[in-house]
Amino acid sequence: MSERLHRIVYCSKGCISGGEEEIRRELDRILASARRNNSRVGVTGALLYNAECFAQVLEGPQEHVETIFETIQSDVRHHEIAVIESGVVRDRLFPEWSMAYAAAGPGSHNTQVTEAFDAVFAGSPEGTTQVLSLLEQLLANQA
Amino acid sequence: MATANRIENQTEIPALALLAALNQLDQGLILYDAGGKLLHISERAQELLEVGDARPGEGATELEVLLRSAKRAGANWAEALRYLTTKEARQENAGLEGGGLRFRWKEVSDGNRVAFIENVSGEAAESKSEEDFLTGLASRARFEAEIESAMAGGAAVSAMFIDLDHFKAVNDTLGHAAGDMLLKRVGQRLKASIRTGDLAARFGGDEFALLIRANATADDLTGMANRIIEVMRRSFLIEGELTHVGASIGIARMPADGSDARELLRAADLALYESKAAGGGRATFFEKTLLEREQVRRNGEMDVRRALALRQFELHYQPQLDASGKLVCFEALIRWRHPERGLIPPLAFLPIVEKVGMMGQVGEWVLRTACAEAMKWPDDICIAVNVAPSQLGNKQFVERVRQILEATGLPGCRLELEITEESLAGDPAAVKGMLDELRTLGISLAIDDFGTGYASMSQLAMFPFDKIKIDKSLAGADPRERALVKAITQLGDDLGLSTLAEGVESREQMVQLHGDGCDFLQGYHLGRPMTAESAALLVERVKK
Ligand SMILES: Cc1cc2nc3c(=O)[nH]c(=O)nc-3n(C[C@H](O)[C@H](O)[C@H](O)COP(=O)(O)O)c2cc1C
Repeated sequence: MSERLHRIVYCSKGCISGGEEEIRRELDRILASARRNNSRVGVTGALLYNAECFAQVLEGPQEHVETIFETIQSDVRHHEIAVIESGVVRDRLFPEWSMAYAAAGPGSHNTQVTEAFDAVFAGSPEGTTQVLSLLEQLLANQA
Repeated sequence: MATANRIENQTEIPALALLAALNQLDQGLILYDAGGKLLHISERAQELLEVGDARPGEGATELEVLLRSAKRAGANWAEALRYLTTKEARQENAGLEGGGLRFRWKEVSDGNRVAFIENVSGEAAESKSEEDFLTGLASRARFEAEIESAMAGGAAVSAMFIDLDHFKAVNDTLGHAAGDMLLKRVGQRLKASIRTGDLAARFGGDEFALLIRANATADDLTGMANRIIEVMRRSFLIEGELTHVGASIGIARMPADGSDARELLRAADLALYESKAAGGGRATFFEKTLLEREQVRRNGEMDVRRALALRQFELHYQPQLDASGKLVCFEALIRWRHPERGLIPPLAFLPIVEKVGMMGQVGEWVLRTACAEAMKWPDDICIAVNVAPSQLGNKQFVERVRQILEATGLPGCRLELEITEESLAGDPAAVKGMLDELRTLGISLAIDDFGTGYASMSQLAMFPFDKIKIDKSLAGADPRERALVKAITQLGDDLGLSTLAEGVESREQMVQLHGDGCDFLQGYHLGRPMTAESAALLVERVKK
């Protein structure tokens, strides 16, 4: 039986206090949780951190995307979570990543990404496409 | 399937003599199938639940309907039962308790179940369930016990009452299973946002509570409440659908606001009521003045009856113009001319009218008065009257409207009924049937306050509306509001509905909303609500 794939994409503002070191450690913790938990249930995706904001793609069987998304929703390390896409999809965007990570490093800014985030938080529909394409671009560069 | 089941079982159900014997038992007995269809209710069960004479085949075919009507068990039980019939709970073989009754059930055959109801009101408090069956949070009984024991230890505890906003809409649109899932997740989020040592509980329905044991300052409590409100506002993903609710909170502190659990909870409840009344999504601390306000509410029913009898209600009429500026309609708006408090606007008293269950009577008075007044105007001026959700909930509503039209002589085509999105949330088929009937009387239907609620656009196509009244919150100059208004007028065009913009307060707004494609306009700039006499004068003036 082929599974019903669900994809959800959101942006949020980080609430991680401390210097670069602390932020890096917290991000490592988040990624470790994500990779451990997601791979167990066939969820894949990517996480972007830039200028204290997150963007995340989660995709996989609907039931599991739901539980993981719910856990993330009650995580106090971020707030102002704006869902920019949610629905059934045919294919995965990140089939081989339990959680790909894209960032130039904590604290550093990529102006293009910052602008895309601003657009999302201001409710502009273009922000969505921008964030997604930047995410893919950043990951491609890293590879 | 269900009928087959039933007929088959009929032969297995014991003969009358045996049923009579069962009625002699101290336990009440309900036999029902997997779908919750009632097969038999013993007299003792009816007696224990205080359901009166609900019997299979008399509308109470659903176990849930039966339990909802039961005075002693109440709505919590219906919900619990629904949960108990899910696959997940089937293995747990849980029992329920409440209202001094215990409810246990067993599967008998073919998915049919038998439930036993016992009176346990005499038993010790320890037997009360400690845990809420759905969320795993503390039960009300445990919560109250914890307050008492914390107090006994001399701790200055605080309590929060948390109630979800728009929960009913989720339940109605996504179904009960999704509603239960949402409640579970709310429970989890709540648990995640409190400190160790504090206690989260669910009292039933969408009512939650927190006990804060540590000595918390007002600032601490405000911070906590705001965090909870923020977390509950975040999207829920349920059965693949993004869903939104909100939370309203009432806060009370010991010893200032109460000296025992009951007083503290009552204070928190009153504070919650204020949060709700102010539109939800906020937290309110208990204050002594809330007690007075409650007294006012309690006196509400008396007041409303007196107001009707002494003709203290009056209608004001606000003009609606078409795009050429011609007066085409008045909207009737109720006011209460209170002997001591002066003229009270509807938002300040209609919730009381609703709460004391008198909306039907007040609504009829409005309709009759407005129709009679409209008879004094020329034929081409219509009257628009608001209909409250509870009015549409009454099956007699259409008949009442018909009688009022007949009594006043107003042709149906001159009456427009304004219906809020909230009214559509109940039973869509029933509401649609009613709206269709109203339209056969020639009455036109407008959806009111459009753009504020949670209803989806698809409801416009589903229900037989003639007009969209765009909420006044979209009358501003903000480009996003403009985009929304344009989208709505376009949608109206495509669906063959006219559009009216509310809240037109300036010339600029008038020009802009007209430009956005609104067919009709209403607002202070075009005319304030006025007395019947002024409306009559205005009608005279424009006739010339
Ligand atoms: C921005 C953000 C993204 C996260 N993404 C995931 C994720 O994809 N999968 C996951 O299991 N946890 C994720 N988490 C962490 C969860 O909120 C939670 O802390 C974690 O699942 C707890 O699991 P653990 O006890 O196994 O570490 C994320 C947290 C944040 C703040």
